[in-house]
Parts: sequence; structure tokens; C-alpha cells
Amino acid sequence: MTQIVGVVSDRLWPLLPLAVSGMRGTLWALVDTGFEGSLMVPESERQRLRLVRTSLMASGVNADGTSSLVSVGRVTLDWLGATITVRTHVPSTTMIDGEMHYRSPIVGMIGLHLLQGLRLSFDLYPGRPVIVEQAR
Amino acid sequence: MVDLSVLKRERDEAFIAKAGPALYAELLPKLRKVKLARYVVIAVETGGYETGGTMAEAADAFERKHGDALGYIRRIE
Repeated sequence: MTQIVGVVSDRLWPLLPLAVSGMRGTLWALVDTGFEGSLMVPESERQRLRLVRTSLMASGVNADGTSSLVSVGRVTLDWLGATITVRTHVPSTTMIDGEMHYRSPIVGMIGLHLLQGLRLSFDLYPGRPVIVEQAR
Repeated sequence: MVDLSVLKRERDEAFIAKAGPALYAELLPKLRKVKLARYVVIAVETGGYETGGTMAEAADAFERKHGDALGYIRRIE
């Protein structure tokens, strides 16, 4: 697979499908270019995403300047034709908890590190495609 | 019934939250001299640490060397 195609939601959220390795069904993740990690999912998604706990915790600075400390786990994804293990921030809650895109859940946020070295493109209109592909 | 694994995790998290920032502050002058180091993972029980250009690199190096020791990750500023 040379590209991943998502969609801009009615709320103007750029969404990408999140393919958890070995799992069927559509899950979505919001692209958040203000997040410096790879993937962030709330604690409540731990089982659905087969998230593996680690003994690590990450400190970060929030948009309002406050700092927080969150657990770090691992999720295995099918990503651009490869199977990759992604270090994942697991806060107790996130802004996307319980959000859906049509009937499929939005389970996390994709940050800059998962997109590093790739091309991300979209027009910010509801229904338009969000495309991630190898940078040229 | 009390879930002991939850209690242990909460205790570990509290320890990381307390010891991590103090160790980071102590190590900072040394960390700033490490070339291409943008992230550090500190073993909060021993003070050992590993660095990397990304969080994943630092965490991978940490787990290779320190196994499942409690680790505090942060960007080097």
C-alpha cells in the first residue's frame, strides 16, 4: 500500500483510518499536528487496540503551557504496507473520547512522529480526502 | 477485591512523577552536551539513562539496556 486515504469530517477534523494489526473493522484517528508523539489513545481504548503496557511514562507540555505525565504503551499497526509497533501515549482521557465518524469510532490522535518523512495533504472541506503517502 | 496490579501501577506512577523531574534537572547539563539527543528516558530507580533523536529511539535504547525498569521520558530542553 503506497498511501493511506482518510477523510475530512463534518467538524473539519482530518481523519485517517487506523489499522490495528490483525483486527478488522474501521477505526479512525484524528491528525493532530500539534502533538509531537506518534499516537495518543485514551485508557478506555486499551483493550480494543490491544495496547501493551510498558513501564514508561512520558512528560509533555500541553497547549495551555501546563505539563502532564502520561503512561506509554505499544500498539501494532498496519501502516503504509508495513507492520509497525508504535509508542503510544495513553492519557486517562482525551478530547476524542466517545467521538464517532458516522458509525465508526474515533479512537486516537496521530502526531508528528508517525507522519515524519511522509507527505500529508488535504483540502479543509468536509468530505474531502486526507492522504498520507511517501514524500517525493 | 483489591486489584494489586492497579495499586502497584499507581505507586509506580507516583514514584516516576516525583523522581523523574528531579533526576532530569540534575542530568540536564550533561544531557545538553549529548549530540543529536532530543529525548531522554531516565531509569528513576538507578539514575541511568538513554537518549535518542526521537522518543521511540530513546525508549528502544532504554528497553534494550534497562529492560522493564521504570522510566521517565521527556524532551531535552
